[in-house]
Amino acid sequence: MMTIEMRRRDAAEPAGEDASVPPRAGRASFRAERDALPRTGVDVPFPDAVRRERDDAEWNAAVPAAGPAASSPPQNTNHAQLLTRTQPSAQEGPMSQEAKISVSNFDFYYGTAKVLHGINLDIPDRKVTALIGPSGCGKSTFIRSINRMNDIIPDARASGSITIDGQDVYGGDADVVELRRRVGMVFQKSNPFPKSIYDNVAYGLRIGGMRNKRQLDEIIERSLTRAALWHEVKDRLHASALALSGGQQQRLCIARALAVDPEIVLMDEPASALDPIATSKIEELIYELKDNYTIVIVTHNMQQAARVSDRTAFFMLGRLIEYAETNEIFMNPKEKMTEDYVTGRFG
Amino acid sequence: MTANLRRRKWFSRFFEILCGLAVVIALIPLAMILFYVIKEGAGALNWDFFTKMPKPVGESGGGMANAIVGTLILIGIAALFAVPVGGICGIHLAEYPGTKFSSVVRFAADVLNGVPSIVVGIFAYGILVLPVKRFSAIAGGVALGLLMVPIVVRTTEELIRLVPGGLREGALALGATRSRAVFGVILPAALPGILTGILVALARVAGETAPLLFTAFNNRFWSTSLTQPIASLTVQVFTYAISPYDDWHRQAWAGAFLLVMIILTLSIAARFAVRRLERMNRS
Repeated sequence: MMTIEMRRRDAAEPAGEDASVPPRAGRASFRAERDALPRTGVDVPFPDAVRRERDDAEWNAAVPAAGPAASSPPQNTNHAQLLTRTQPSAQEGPMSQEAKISVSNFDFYYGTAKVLHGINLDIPDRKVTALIGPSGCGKSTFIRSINRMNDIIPDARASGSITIDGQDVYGGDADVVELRRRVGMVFQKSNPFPKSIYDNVAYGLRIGGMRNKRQLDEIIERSLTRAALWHEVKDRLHASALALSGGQQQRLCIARALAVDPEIVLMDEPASALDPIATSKIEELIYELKDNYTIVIVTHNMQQAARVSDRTAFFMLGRLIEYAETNEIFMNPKEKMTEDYVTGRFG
Repeated sequence: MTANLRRRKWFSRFFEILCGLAVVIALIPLAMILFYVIKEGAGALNWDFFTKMPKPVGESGGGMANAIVGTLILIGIAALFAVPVGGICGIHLAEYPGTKFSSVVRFAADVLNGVPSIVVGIFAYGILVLPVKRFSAIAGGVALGLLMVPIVVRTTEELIRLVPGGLREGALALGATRSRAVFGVILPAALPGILTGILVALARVAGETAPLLFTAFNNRFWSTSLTQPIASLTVQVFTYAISPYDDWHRQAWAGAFLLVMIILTLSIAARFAVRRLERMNRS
């Protein structure tokens, strides 16, 4: 338990009061909110205290207490043995009313290699859900399954179901283009098109058929503002997007995703290639976005998962090992493997 | 120094010298061609050469205005024919690389690339000259276009494959259809490189003579009609070079010089475009 405590404190450091980060309105507002509220024992950079209190209540109401999870496995259990369990303790009770994305018995194959094994989880609406786990555990494959980005890989095959608002993403009548308009995605490596900043953000709108210049201007300004980039680029909207810095490019990609007004934003390690300052900007952004969007984020950085997410799912070797409140995963994991991973004993 | 190390150093030195020698041998013909063409051609080149029509035998002066315009028309037709056909084939190969059809197309493009240009000329003669019983600029342009197609196909394919996969994913993730992603994002990203390929292909066919001999034929008079025989620099140079007249020989050298300059310009333009593409991808 001691190690976990220390890790939590580590987590607080990178996004603490960093003088080199220029203040912004959004940041100030939620800081004020954070400071106005009483703190809990653990010092965390984002207003987790607020979040946790509110969310715990909501979740306790919506989701009955985790079932068999309480039977915590004996120490020194072999990991392979744990994996043979058919029912991970992550199984929550009946489907929550709030579930935006609902995944059941989802398997995924690349050719004959099975990379996801019977994933079951419900992702709540307007919350941040983090997916963590060691490299190759299937978390990227999983997040890319939600908007069917894996369709472009030859020989990839899925079974089981993923539903968004009750509609099956892989169903026969599902339209992948419409799906991707509803489910935006931000990639690990920022991928602005070799066009101007304006045209990058306008891309999704234009393919949707929008031609009205004034409307475009308006949405582009709003999207860039939401992505906390407007003030940095408003004077050079028609300059090449490739001239922006790495962090700016990533925020541009976020703005581009937001412009088409998706319901869900998937982020596949959005900050892994960025420096700490750019990372903290992206994290603040994620925190602010969850008022309007359901966010799923893959991250290798456990402190980041702890800072930005409401719920965390721990994946290993293609299986969902544990899925619970972020607080629970980090402070009081039910599974030995989760504890080993979040305390840095492996992975 | 051990004997072994000395031996290795000696070997290294030997092969360095060998490489240098090979470079010199390869460059000597190029340098000599350029030297000869400039020496003989640049002197004969004057304003009249660009603006005047060929004079009858015995009269000095005159130029190749009709042949210069003819060559431009011919490579223009070739590009109009080869760029859409080759470009679309190349896009198909890059987008569906693994299908049976793609491997057939790729193989066909490689075979076409190896077909002797005179054979391509005979083919164009067979389908475009014989039925109408008249040599024409169109027949010549199409013959040159056929030679361009495989080059355009392969460069388009290669360059589209070089576009980072992230761009495709980014477009698809925004709800773009596949064709929308290709034509709106991927193709524009690859365009500078594809243009380079087209320029290189143009430079290659601009210097072709054989496919024009019985398609575009030649024309001693001013003609820009696409359905009439048309003059070209290469055929004009060929005709003048095998003639017994000194005046015509001088004109042939000037024509050769101009051809080399055109090809050099196209190649330099191509390199310039490549550099721009690299700069774009680096940032």
